[in-house]
Amino acid sequence: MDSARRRETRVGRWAPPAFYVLIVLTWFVDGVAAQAGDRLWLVLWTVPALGLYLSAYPQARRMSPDFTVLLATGVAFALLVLAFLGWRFGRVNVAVFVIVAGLFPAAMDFLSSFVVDNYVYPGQSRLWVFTYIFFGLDGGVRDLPPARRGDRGAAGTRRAERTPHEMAGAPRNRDDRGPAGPVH
Amino acid sequence: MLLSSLAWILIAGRPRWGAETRLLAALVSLVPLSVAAIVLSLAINGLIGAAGLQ
Repeated sequence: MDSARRRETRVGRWAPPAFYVLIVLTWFVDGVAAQAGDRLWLVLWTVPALGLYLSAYPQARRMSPDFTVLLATGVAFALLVLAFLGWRFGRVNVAVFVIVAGLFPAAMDFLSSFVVDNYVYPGQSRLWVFTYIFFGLDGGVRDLPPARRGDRGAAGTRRAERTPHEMAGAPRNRDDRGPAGPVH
Repeated sequence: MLLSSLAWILIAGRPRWGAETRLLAALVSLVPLSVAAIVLSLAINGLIGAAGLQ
């Protein structure tokens, strides 16, 4: 926690996680009701705020992160994002996502660390880096296909246009919700 | 990695496959994903080297 205590102001201490929350919130907004072009401004409007922060607190550019807090917040937000994806796409697709977007890059980085020095997390063990990359999901969430209203989307399951029944409040049909769901 | 998102899109876009098949496909896809990642990494490193960049 020393690196966090060394920060001079409360704003300086909490701005990075605040920006992280902001970015995660934009994912949620994007996933709930997005149209083409939404993602661009959602990303762009955080950039000036980040620039203002770095110009106001230049010490932040050289600050060493608290790796324990970094890992804990990364895991916490990953679980939030996975919960959202589970609600949106079903448990099976989340498990597939964890394998291909969590296990795969973490394992590849772990294996390559025995050959080359590619760590950007100074002083951290291989287990730490594996865990962080695993729960970082390697940007896989950001790379998910953009949603368009009325588009079935690449997942092909949940992006369908709302039916009149759904407009009237009926729940959307969700597969992967256990044995009570429709037959695959 | 862009490849993992592509793999997820390809697997999750097949709801007819069923849970077990999709999970198995995810595990099996780790093999081609690893090969593709290694090839891509070598190619990019080669390009960077050929361009004289660090």
